[in-house]
Amino acid sequence: MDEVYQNQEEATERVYRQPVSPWALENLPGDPMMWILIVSEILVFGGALWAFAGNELLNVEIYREARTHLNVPLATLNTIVLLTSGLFAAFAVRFGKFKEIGKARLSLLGAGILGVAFMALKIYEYKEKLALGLNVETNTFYTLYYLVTGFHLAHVIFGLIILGILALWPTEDNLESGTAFWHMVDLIWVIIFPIFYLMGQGL
Amino acid sequence: MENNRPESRRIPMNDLLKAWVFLVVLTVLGYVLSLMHSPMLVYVGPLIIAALILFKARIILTSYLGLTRCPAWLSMLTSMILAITVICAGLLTYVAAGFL
Repeated sequence: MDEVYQNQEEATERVYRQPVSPWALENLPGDPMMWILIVSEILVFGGALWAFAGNELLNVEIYREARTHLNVPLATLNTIVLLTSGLFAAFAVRFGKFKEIGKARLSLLGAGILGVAFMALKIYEYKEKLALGLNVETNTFYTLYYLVTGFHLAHVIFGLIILGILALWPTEDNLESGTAFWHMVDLIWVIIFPIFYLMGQGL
Repeated sequence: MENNRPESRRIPMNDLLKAWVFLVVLTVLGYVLSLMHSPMLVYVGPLIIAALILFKARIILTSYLGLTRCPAWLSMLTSMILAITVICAGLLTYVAAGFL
């Protein structure tokens, strides 16, 4: 049975060439341009996170007080929701490799639903902050909080549109490129969440 | 031959599920750590969180994004994330430890 499966896997998986250079773009999953985008997005968010951490040197008390209003359990739950969404996106690629288009679409639907759940929880969190009078102009902490998490949320919305397009044209290349964007959204949140919510709390 | 129809194929998903379990465990671990109050954590807490970020990022890059076949890209992205998190952790530790 395993042998049969292995043969099937060899037959269905994309053949990767031996790269001429370890930096060769040809073996990257999906479109190489997506990887250029991923690198630039990490640099942009990285710069914003440095600005956030650096600003604490100038606003120690403001940061300390501002952190007490963060909803850490909700953000932890939201992180798990987004990571699970990433899992479904990875399932979609795996199904796509085996030409199981129906299951790939179903996995994309699962990823999309969880993406919407992430959005809903984030909007709830913003509402919670706004009800406390904490808006983008309150202080440096919340300016950067809304800027960074809002920019990330914009990526989630864009990612959801990409997942929708993938469901319409679920070829192997499209799935690899589109889900790479979704995983990038995942990856960036995995960096943002601990730096904003966990570091500096008592840690 | 009938059994080899596409519908009956077993597609391996265990590696992805394992990666997801690790990611969730590391996320919960970070949260639990944030609930603890120890003077020692003021110094080492941000570095532990930075290590957790790095582990999670590596799992996403290798298991979800499949970068194991592009080691140079994997190293580059890991180094970028390492630089981001270590500098943030360093700055936040500097403030939290009262060196300012």
